Amino acid sequence: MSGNNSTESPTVAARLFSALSLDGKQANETRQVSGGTLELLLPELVNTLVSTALETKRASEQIALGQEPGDNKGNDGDHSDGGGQQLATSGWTELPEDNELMEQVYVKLEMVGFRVGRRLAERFSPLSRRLTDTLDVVKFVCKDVWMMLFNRQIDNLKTNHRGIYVLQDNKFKWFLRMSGNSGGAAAARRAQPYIWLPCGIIRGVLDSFGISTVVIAETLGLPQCTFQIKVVSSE
Amino acid sequence: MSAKQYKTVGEEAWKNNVEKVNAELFIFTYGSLVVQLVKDYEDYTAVNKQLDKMGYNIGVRLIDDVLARTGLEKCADFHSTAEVISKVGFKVFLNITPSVQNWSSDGKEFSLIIDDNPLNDFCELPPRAVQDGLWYSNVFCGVIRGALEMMQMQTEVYFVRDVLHGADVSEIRVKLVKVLDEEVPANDE
Repeated sequence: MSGNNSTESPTVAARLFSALSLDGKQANETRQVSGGTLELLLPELVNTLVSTALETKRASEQIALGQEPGDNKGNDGDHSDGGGQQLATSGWTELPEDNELMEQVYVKLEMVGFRVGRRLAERFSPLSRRLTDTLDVVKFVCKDVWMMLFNRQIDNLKTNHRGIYVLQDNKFKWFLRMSGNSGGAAAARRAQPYIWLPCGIIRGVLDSFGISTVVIAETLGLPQCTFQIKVVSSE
Repeated sequence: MSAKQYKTVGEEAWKNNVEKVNAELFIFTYGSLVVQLVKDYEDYTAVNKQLDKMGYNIGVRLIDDVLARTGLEKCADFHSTAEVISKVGFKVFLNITPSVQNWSSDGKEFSLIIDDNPLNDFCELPPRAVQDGLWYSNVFCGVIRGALEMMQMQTEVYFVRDVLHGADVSEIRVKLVKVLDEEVPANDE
């Protein structure tokens, strides 16, 4: 029973920019940076959160063993420096195999995205005030938010009209440069953290409209990516 | 090359060789990351250190990109280096051009004065963070240090003052410690 809303022309995006120019102090300066700047930051962001999660885990293990946290400071240093070295050459590091650890990384990255989503929605509130029901907000994500984030719209939006929305991006921008030679499964695994961030962003945008959701993402093969939004009813 | 010529190189690269995007996503993502680090470390000094380290890793990767986009070659002296950082590096990535000031008499130290830091947009630090010395944009220091190290320059780079701490401009100090040996080790291919 899935309706199929193919995305329309970016008229809402055009309105978004006109709304921006009316936005008081920032009126005549829609600030721009190089797209490459964020692409440089992202792998480091993931890396940094992996290393903080690792430190937290080590510290709690040491407490469990009755040691003072930070006993192996020397080792910690070596390890994170090693990560840095690896990154220097490739940009994309291999992720730890530890699932429990990656769960922590997921929580952190998703929260980073969540805050970004909240702030994006606030920032562009002149437009967003007109949105009334959930489908409108999801469309706002598919068109305007995606345009803002990735310079393109979501390719396909499906809904069961009962609180589940499936967004498909056939060329997810952050995956385009990730074609490793390590093959499908390994590449998909390495790519995973880069979809946790937009999961958080989507959840953050919806949350600022008072819609609580769970957002999960999967990829069936890079650079394709599917986001599933599930509305959590508050009643 | 003169400062003016570097300015032209930077502006041309920004105009023709750079995909320009709205700054908000970058600004908010960075801000959200800092918040996360503050939560994780609960210690502003540790956050400064982490941001610097992150910047370093970015810097060592970024330098090739800068050279590729601009066709620039290795700088002849530290004065040119300063001009390239300000008028090409900052310009190409952030579309700002900090001014180069306060040269030391031996020509090994200068300051970058930033009055329009995009990362500061929408940002206000809690008093506690200011008091405990969080350098919110400390990632810049790491980037400069990392990039210069790839050009065989070992440097110390640190914030002296910051608009977010109430200063009228932000100032980053860059100090050349030594020029590293350029020779590639025999066992490195």
